[in-house]
Amino acid sequence: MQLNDLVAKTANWMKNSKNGVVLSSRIRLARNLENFPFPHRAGEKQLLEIAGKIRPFLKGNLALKNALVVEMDKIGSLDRDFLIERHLISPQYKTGSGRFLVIGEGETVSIMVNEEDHLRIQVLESGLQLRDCWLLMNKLDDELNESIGFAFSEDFGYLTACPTNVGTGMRASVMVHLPALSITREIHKVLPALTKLGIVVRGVYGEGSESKGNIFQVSNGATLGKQEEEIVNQMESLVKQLINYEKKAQKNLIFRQKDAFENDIWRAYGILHNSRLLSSQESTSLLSTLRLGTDLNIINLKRETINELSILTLPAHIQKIIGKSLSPQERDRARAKLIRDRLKEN
Amino acid sequence: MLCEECGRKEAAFHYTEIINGFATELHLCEDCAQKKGINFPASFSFADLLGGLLESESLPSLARESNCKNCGLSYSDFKKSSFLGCSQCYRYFHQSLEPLLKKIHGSSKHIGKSPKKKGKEKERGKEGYDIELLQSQLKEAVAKEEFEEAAKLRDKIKEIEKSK
Repeated sequence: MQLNDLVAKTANWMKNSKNGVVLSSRIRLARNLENFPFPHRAGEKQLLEIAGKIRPFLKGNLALKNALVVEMDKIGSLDRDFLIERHLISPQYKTGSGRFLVIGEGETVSIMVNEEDHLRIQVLESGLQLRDCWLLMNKLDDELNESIGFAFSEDFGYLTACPTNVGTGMRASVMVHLPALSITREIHKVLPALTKLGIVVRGVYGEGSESKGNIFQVSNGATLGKQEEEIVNQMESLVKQLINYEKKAQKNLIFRQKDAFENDIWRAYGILHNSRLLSSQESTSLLSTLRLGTDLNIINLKRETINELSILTLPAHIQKIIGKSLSPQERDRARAKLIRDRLKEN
Repeated sequence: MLCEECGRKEAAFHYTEIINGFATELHLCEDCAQKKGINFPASFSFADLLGGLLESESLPSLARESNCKNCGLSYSDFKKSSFLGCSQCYRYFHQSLEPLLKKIHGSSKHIGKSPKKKGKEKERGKEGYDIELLQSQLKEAVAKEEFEEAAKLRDKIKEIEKSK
């Protein structure tokens, strides 16, 4: 498999989920090898040595032996952006030798080698599936540890470059779509309350990114002093509460302003269905409205279609689909056509 | 306590002199100590004293510098970047990190999963203490002039080494 083959593929996490509010669940572990400096203090030789310890593991691992390996120093900026949009690498992931990305079947499992830590392992699934993500992750972590051996202290747990990740090294995050809470401005009450509970709320692309299309990334703050299962359970129950709030806000909207609400949704559909030029910002916002309409059965579309469109219409994806670098205006045209075509199919 | 010689200034030096087989305690102020020709090192500190004591007890060499012995990162480097240099930094800066981690995470003790060890276990005393870790904690305690803590740690290391 090649990197370009991913463009036409639907990642597992984009597939249909039972619940409309939660788009995807992700567990990420930070792990480091013993006796090597962390990547930011490692020289090229050491980075290559670290990378060299991980490659044999991949070959011997049943789930990852056919994984796609992307060397960061061999790809251009468009491919990088493409991988960021797909949630496979962080915007902070540097290029250079000894840094590579491993992408497992269906993009469920991926590993960034020599990002902030020697290993950043990710399990990504659709909907609210943190527990399943953890089960898969736990197994993979054991296998990796058996083969490579991780830096660990009895007191502080798994040791990481930044002390904010030490302990379990685990970040359990959920991507939630909260349009009704945003419209009713209830979101301004909900988010600070979550923060007080030690939950971190970010934009779609993690640290420092803003929320787009009413999508928020909600994750645990503390990684030390809690068991992994405890973190997963707390996150799941918290997210279920969040789903309830959002659904209540949705019901309220329909109850109070049914016509205006339905009008907004059909208009969004109309624009997406007919536009000749669409900016990334506009399409993200309209797709959020369309997603809400789908969740409320006002419009009959598959969630999967909206999930896919949300990703495929991003700037780097559009250019990968067309197969060349495009100006912003060319992108807007290509984006509008892609959405028209997809909506016609449904 | 006032200086036993002049009786005016606060006594800063306390030491024991043996005269004709009898131990005599002396408490002197800085000026009188100098007049009596008692020389103390200019940068006198308890850290040096305890450091000397540790060396005399032939404990495995403790680094005096406050850098990570493995990667050379200093604590001020860490404070600047908020990134540690290597996994060993957690040992060398153990005591400074503990309160920091408590602030960040609300806890400084890992209770989650631990790796299933493949190779041999790290050398540990009978109570499961990691000697290397204790030594780095001792070093930090000395540097911070927390002597009560340092004494406790030193005794613990001795005890473990004896039991080996």
